[in-house]
Amino acid sequence: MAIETHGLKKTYRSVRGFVRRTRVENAALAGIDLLVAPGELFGVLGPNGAGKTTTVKILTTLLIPTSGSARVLGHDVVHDVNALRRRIGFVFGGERGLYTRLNGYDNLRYFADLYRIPPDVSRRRIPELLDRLDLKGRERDRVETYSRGMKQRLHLARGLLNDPEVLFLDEPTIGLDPVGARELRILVRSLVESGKTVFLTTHYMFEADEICDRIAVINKGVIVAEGTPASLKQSVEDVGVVEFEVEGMPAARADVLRRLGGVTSLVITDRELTQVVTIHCTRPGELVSQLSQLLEGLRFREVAVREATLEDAYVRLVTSE
Amino acid sequence: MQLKLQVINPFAYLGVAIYPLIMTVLALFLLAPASQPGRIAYAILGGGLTGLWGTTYVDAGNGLNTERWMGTLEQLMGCPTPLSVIMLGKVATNVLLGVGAFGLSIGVAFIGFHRVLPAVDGGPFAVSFGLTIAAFFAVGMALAPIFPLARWSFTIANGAEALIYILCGFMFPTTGLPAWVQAISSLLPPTWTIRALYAATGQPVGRDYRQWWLTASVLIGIYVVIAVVFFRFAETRARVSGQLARA
Repeated sequence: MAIETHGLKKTYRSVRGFVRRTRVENAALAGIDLLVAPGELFGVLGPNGAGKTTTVKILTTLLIPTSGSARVLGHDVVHDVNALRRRIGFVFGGERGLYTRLNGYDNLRYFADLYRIPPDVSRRRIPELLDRLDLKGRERDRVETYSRGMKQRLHLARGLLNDPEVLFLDEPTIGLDPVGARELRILVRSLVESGKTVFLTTHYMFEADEICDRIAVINKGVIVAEGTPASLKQSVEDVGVVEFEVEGMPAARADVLRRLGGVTSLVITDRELTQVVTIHCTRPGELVSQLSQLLEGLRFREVAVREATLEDAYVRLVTSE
Repeated sequence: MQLKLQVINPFAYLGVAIYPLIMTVLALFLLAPASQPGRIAYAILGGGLTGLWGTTYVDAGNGLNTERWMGTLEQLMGCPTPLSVIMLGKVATNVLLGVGAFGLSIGVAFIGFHRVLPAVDGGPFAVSFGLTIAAFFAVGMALAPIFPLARWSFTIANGAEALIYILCGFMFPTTGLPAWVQAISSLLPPTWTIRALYAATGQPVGRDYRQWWLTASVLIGIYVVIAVVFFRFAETRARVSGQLARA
């Protein structure tokens, strides 16, 4: 296995208060079991605070788990750190993480030295990476002049400097425009096709659906579902979605709807003046016919019935108790 | 690359040039009117020492905090080169830059005040100067891990920097300090190397070069060991607490 974790747990401890100090514990991971095969593009999907980044940081040796075990390429992530770091790459992306007063080439050269890449190899590899990631011609410009997309590509170039066998990408497309994000996804897919194992975290279901071989859905520190995109879609094959907009949804009415037969989940999303109610159910037609009675006295509009998508499956998984 | 990172950082010039310049000029204004050449030596060398210590301690030690603010600390931790080795490069770079502060102090004294260092005993001065650099390097490396571990450390960095001026006798002999303070001073390797430095400029502090150099060398070795142990501890603590990314 390229990556394996068993009962991985991570609890952050902090102190609250100034005079009367109380210890606070936050269980970021509550027991994660994962197996990723070599050459796989494995996606971890979850909302903010689910434990995705914590998982990546443990696997890339930046965090020590509270309990459980994890191995990457056969190396223990706690004890076999030096050997492991030579064989993996990681990209956290974002605006930070680069030396903005240096140019792109110098950023890569510095990290090539830190990764102990021989000078003759880095002299060849850096221009290749710059070309592949469409940064050629801008490598002598300061990073502070780069666009968001260019910085992200430079992050990726840095993550590929040591030609890693396993590459960890933590939300690589966040903040990118649709064209830039699409190009990055194509590039990530090409890395897998060249034989690398890629472990990717995202909170975009369509992204995981588009490029991942397998997906794990994580919520509140536990894996709530795992499988191929097709198998996850099967879980919502017999589910339809009824969606409508209402001016204020009382909690009591929502509870009534939630308890109706065939309703598997109900999600309320707040907008400026209204709320959008999304109901997953096995008999959408039946539900629609009851709506006018169930919502008597409320002003609702735009009732829509559609087939459930993978995104609905994800929403259902991360919002259910 | 560390040198390049420092050279392009405007803040670095504060420690290398501005601050020692101010200290040298102030000291010369205070001490130059006296006819004792010893005081001139304290003003000139003292200004240079403040620059050397400032860049070693604040710039190098705070270098880890700067890396965290920039978001690059995690990248550094995650690479195969140990953090202590990376810091070694940072501290060494800053020490080298700090040596430039000496040149500035001597230049300011000569051009602005028409003062030069008193007669220097070349050999002992050179050895003492080299050991002073090594001493600052060792202490800087030992203190550097505190900065990412304890974020409050930055708030007291400037005060702690000035404390070393007093304890190690940058601008006056430590023999004038209370006995209990001298005991603390004696645990710092720069105290001995700076004493030897001033002795080599003819100051009346004795001539026990061998004893001072030996004491400083032993202390430097101890501080290097402390630095290695402290870095390992700091790295493990940071990996447990997850503080690498928190600015």
